Amino acid sequence: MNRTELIAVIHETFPGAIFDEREPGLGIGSFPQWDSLGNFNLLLQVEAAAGIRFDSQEIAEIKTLEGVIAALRKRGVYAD
Amino acid sequence: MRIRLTATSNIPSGNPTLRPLLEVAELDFGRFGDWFEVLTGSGYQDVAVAWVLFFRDILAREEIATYEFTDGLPEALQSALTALDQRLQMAKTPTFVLWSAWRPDSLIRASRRQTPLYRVESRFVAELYRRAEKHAGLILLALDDLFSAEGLRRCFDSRNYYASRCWLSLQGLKTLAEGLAGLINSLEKPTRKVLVLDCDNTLWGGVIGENGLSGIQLGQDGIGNAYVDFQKVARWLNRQGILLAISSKNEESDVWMVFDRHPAMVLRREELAAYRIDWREKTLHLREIASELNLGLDSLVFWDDNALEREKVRNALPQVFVPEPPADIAEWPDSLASLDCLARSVNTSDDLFKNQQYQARAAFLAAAKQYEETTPFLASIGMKPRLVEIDAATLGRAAQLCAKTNQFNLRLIRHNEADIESMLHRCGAKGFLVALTDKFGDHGIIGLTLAVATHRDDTAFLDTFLLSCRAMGRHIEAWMLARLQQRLLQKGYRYLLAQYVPGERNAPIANFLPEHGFQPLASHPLVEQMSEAVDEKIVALRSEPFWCADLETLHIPHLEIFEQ
Repeated sequence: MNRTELIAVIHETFPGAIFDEREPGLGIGSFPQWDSLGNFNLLLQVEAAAGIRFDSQEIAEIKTLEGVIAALRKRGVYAD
Repeated sequence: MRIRLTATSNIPSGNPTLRPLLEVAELDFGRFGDWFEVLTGSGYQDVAVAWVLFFRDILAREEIATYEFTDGLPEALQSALTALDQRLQMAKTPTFVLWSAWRPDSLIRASRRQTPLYRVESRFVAELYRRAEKHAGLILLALDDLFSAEGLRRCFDSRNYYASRCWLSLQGLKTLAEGLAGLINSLEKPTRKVLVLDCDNTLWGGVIGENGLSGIQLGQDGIGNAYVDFQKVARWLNRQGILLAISSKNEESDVWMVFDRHPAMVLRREELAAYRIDWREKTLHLREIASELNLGLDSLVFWDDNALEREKVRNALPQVFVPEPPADIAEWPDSLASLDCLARSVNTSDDLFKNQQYQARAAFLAAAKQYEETTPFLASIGMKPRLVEIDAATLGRAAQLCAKTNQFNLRLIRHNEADIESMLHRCGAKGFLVALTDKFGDHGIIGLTLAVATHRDDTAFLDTFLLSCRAMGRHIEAWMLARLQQRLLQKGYRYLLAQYVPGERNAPIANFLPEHGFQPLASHPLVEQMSEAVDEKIVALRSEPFWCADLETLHIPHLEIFEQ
């Protein structure tokens, strides 16, 4: 996956959400729909899109786009 | 439909997999874990509720480890049922109960003795279905049956529970949403009534005109048995009230040769309500079949192996449902059996005889063509309408007529069983069903009327007046109105108020009131008193004009037909 595809997953998960894609620290709290439940929904969508599975620890700890990218990179499924 | 979704654990609102549900309902998620409050609170009686129950949320393993069959249900489940009972007593809207009892276990444990969990679930499910018999608004969905088609382990994900109190995986959420959406659709959309089947490469493998009787694949070994099983599913659907018809581009004699002479043929000619076997376009076949059965095109399901024929029908007749059959014939029997649009939640005894009833109608139409005048013909066919009281045995049929009758339905009010029971026993409504036999056969129960009291002691309001489409064109409505007139007069009524509420398809009943002696209320001498006689609390009124009949002087036409 790449950043553009991840942004598309964010739009798919939160239709209608308005946010700055380049915002540093884009994550929980960046817009109203991305709350803790929204974060859970997003991580499930990322798993489906990337064909991977986050472990329990990651699901609890990933709260930003950068966190998602780091977890994908660790699995070798992220292209800059 | 607006639905309050509530669950014993988290169904994550906003999850994209739940979107199929949003296409059929307006969903409200409420607070996490508020199911008990939703079931027992009085604030939810006007909104449909979908209650998702995971046994593992309210029942720990150790609690049922010592459960004995002679015990009642474990306390947690008994309390849940009590809460459901409270909801069922109050609710005026559907209650969907979706439950899952599954939790991973070793099958070794169940190899010699039923596990306590299995016994608890069996008893709980029996209790649910017992309630469903009494409450038409209770709709049940065993989630584990739904999930097992996808694989239970794929549908659950314990990680999600510890992350967000959600037992389900993305697949599980998707499956749940699709299952619930299917149920909601089944309530909102009328069931399809006719399965129209192609013949070559559909009822049998090969082309009868080219391969001959001994060259087609049907029965014996291998794939020929899949065609036999496909026909068996079609016959099973027919036994549940779905009509069967054939649309085939073929020589008619070739098709009947297979029906009459092939030893493995399952379907019989007499099981077909209609057929078109010639070389014309199938779109014409389908139009004619619908017309012959007096049904709309939206009652038809068309099953054909030929992609071109399917596409032509989809384009020309979008009202007809055309499923995409699996590429492999081996999957056809299960695929046909699983079609939601041919499934109904309640079968009445009348459904079982529907085939004969439509064949009787076809014979009636054929005989009618030979007469120039309608009245002598109708007088000659020995029509015997019969009044049938609405009781426990016929209540289901009364509700079914309300739900499914579109063409000859005066106000299109869709009462369910509970509504009708309440109208008759608590609100003093007068009403009955009508059954019909004639020389063409037994048509079963084909009519329903309900009149309700108004604020004026001498005036009733015609809440429901409908006839099944297969009984139209016989003036049964005149007989039904005459019986209602008689009954209301006996009960001390003098006037009957009525209104016609136009819908998409009930034009055939548009002139019923003026043609049967009703006068516009606006011209009635008692117009002012009458206008206030009907209360919105008694009937859901529409804005259409009122009509009034004086029952003492009402002259109903066409009754001479029934006096022969």
